[in-house]
Amino acid sequence: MTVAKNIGKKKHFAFKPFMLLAHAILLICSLIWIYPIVWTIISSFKPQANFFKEQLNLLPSMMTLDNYIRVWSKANFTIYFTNSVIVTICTVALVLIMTNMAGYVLGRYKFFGRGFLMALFLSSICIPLVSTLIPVYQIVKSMGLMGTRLGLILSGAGGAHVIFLLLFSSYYSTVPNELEEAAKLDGCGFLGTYISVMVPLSSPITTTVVIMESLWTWNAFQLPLILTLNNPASRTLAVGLYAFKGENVVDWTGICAGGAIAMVPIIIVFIAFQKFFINGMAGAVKG
Amino acid sequence: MKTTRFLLSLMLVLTLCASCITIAAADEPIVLRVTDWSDSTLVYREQFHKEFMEKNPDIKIEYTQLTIDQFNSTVVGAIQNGDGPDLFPVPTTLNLASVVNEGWYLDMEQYVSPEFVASFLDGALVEGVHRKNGVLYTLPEAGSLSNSMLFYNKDILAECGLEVPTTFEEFREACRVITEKGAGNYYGLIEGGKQANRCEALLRALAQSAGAKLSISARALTVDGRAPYDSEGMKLAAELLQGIVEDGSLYPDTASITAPEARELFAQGKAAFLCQGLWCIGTWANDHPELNYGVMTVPKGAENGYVATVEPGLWMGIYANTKYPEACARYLEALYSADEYHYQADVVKSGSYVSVIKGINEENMVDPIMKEYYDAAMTCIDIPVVTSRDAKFYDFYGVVVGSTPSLASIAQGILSQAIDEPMDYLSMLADAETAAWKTACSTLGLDFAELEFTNWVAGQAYTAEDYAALN
Amino acid sequence: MSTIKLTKAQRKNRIKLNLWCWSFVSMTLIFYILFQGYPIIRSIYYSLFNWSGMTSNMTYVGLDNYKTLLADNLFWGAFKNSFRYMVMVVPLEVVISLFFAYLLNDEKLRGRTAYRIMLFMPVVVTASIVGIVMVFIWSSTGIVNNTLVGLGAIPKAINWLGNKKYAMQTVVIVSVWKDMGTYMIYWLAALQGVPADVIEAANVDGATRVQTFFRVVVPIILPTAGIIVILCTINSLKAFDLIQTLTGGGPFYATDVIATFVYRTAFTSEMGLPRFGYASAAATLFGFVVIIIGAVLNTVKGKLQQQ
Repeated sequence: MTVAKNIGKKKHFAFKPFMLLAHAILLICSLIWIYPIVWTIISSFKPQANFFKEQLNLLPSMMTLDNYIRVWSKANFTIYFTNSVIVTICTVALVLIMTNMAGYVLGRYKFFGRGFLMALFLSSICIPLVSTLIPVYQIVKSMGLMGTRLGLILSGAGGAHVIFLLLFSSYYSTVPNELEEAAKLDGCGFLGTYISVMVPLSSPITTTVVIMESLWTWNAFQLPLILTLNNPASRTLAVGLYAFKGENVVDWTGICAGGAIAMVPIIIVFIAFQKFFINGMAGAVKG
Repeated sequence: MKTTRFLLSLMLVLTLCASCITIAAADEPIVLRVTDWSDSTLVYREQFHKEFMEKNPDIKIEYTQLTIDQFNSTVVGAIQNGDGPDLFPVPTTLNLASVVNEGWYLDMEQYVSPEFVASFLDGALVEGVHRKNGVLYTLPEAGSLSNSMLFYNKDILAECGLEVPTTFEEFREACRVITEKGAGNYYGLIEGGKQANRCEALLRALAQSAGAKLSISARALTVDGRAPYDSEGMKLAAELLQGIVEDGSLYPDTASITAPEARELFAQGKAAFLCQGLWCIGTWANDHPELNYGVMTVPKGAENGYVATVEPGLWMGIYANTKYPEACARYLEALYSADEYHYQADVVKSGSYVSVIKGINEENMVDPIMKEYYDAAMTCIDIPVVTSRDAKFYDFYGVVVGSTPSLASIAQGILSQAIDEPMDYLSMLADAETAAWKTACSTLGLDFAELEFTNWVAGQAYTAEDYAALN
Repeated sequence: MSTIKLTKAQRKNRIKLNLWCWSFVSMTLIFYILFQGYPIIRSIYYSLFNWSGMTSNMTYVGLDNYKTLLADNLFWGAFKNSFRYMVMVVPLEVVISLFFAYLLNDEKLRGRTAYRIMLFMPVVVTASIVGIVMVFIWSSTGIVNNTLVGLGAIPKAINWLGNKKYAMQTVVIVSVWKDMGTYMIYWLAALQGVPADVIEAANVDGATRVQTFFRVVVPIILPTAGIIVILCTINSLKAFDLIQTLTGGGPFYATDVIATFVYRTAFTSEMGLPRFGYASAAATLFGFVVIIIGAVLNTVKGKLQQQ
């Protein structure tokens, strides 16, 4: 990797006008992209009564922390937040481990039954389900995990992991064979090659999985709701925050404040992990 | 690269740890789980819960408030699997007959005191709605009032020099004049057009007010052997709405806003008229005390026009699988209490509800606008209901398959100018519903002719004697 | 693959490899069977019943639900809309996200982390907030109308989400805005498979950026690109949250897609009970059509890979 970087520094293929244009496009698009989010955050500081009056005003006439205080207490924040963190970390870890392993063999080996498995996974993500809630609920119940965080973690991990499986398998399929052979020459077995050579290479997809799965688990609402219906002590933040949208009455500024709070951890995860979008392959080949 | 491996192992360890953490289950008090969608009284409900837990330290209330859709798509599954909350309302799509068949609720009178049952207003607990074969399963949340009343902004009317319109023509003209005068600042009519059910409520109220013989929402009733969706009154109502839209007197965003958004914009003075329910009053009293408004029934479209009463609502009951039926009964007794707790008094005072408990309304209905609403709602008249004629028809609603595009979608189509010829769709709907009702009747062996009330005169209240006269 | 007879040792290796592979997929497979396979089978099972989902009263009706579906205009309307939505969303989403990912993959671009975060932000926002914000942004006095009227692009304000002519396009724009970040992330991951030295080599040879992109980058990321396009297609066909909060399928079914149709049928009703069984049949039928499309796309991907 260091080698690749050095090459990049020596050569000057980034001529100025191109960069300028890139910055101009990126700046304009970024501003359009975050405008609604900035608006949400600002609205979360507005008093309820000013919310509609000022509509799209980015400069509120009055600022208040009331919304945050209300949300904090109503959403049982401390308990739910802890639950959310535990559930999210565990779910992400679980999804990561299993999809990485399965993606590796599906992407790199032509083993017995591979074609069948690929077809099974691919076709099943095409079927929109009316609701997976009841079957999943029944399974969690039969495991005796109703209302527990473990139930939330297992059912959450069972959700959308096929997508990551496919990403891992297609990524692993692009890894050059020489790397594997070199490891074998060094005396690495199947497991050794996987852990010491392949897993480090997969950091870009790992990053993707961490970011996306954190996001989904963090915001998951329906499944956590039904699984913790009888045990609010293990509810997650998303379940707590939803209470601001009622049948006839909507607490708009409360929703904005709740949304802003919920956004923060995911953005932190994103900032922390996006730097792992680094050229794993080049580094491995060269270094 | 190392970081990735480190993170992976860290996460694995954390997973194992978390699995071992058990949820603290000490000798805590009885936990009562209550779930419903009564958001308009949430503030008072929470106060009530606090007070209740103080007075009953052995009980802890876990209250979950959802929307009706969320309730149907999540909680119902839990109820079926025997894990429902201790207290929950009957889902809006079901009736008492079906939930009793399912065995969801307990016979309440085994746990609540006779005095409690006696404290309800006469006629508030109805056989077929709250009781089945004399057994009490659920309670009404509040007195049922029509939720299609017309709110009007007095300041805007005064500014435009207009009187309150009483006929369709006056209404359309008023909307036009107001919009012209408002020059973009305010408009004639606003609705939560994104919610098809609100569009339907408006269309239905206007049609009845134009003399259409029409059941209340989601109920079947025939006129001349047909679902009466393309009657003359319905045509007048559809034309009125079309006219208002064509005049440009409808708030321009109507088609893309929800009912709460419409209510908020009305309070901001963006429109002169809004057709909604009692729940507006409490919200406005809190958020917009300065709003100067009145309320009335929708304008008349014909001599024999009328405003129909709504069915008595059914709400909460005690879950059959609850471990603590006595505690549930205590909760209900406190919630409906006239003296010890003041939830009932609070909701009436705030203009959120009309109570079903004796002595509450007289004392607490102090808000003049609420009185106005109440008086307007009292002019509503009863219309025939097939289940009152023959209780077997409760099963009808468990079998009938509604046709599409529904009345609600057509009403929405009119308001959003997505359809030009509503009468075509209404005729299609009338045909399809007639066929669907016939099918449902024949499946259950019911007499389709019972859906027809030959002695019903539009604009006149339908009484017990009228039911009797039919048989 | 090869017809040469395997030696004993080779055969033993074969078996060993198969065991390793199956043990690696086993965990995924167990989770899959429990939380995906079983629900799918249940759903197909429900589709054979006349069932409200609300009560225990289930009647077996065989394929009646499917027969009724074939004659249901609203189902076919939603079906058509789903594909209309997909055809508009997928190219926009894929191209725009690849464009940004490629720009933001350049190590020499200053502030790329900040750009990445900003472009990813909408993904983090929950659908209910998007619903609230967009009502204002697209309203008659909102920023879109004000800008367009100000520029003279349109004579007077349009109710973008409430007008049957524009509602679908508006939903598409919002959805591209919301999900672009997701695909940008996928592309960023895919682009890490392109060794920097290969690009360097191409530049040394005097290739322009565009040439480098098409001749060097595209062939390398093609396998992952295939998966990304497939995911985008499938996700767009299953789109629900955003459409439900923005329009709920309205006005008058103009944006009604399969997912909103299914949800409405399964959990709400205007008269009588909801129709969970019927909704399951709609979902299943649609799923099979998508599988066929998925299979076609996969073959195309396979063909491209061979090249």
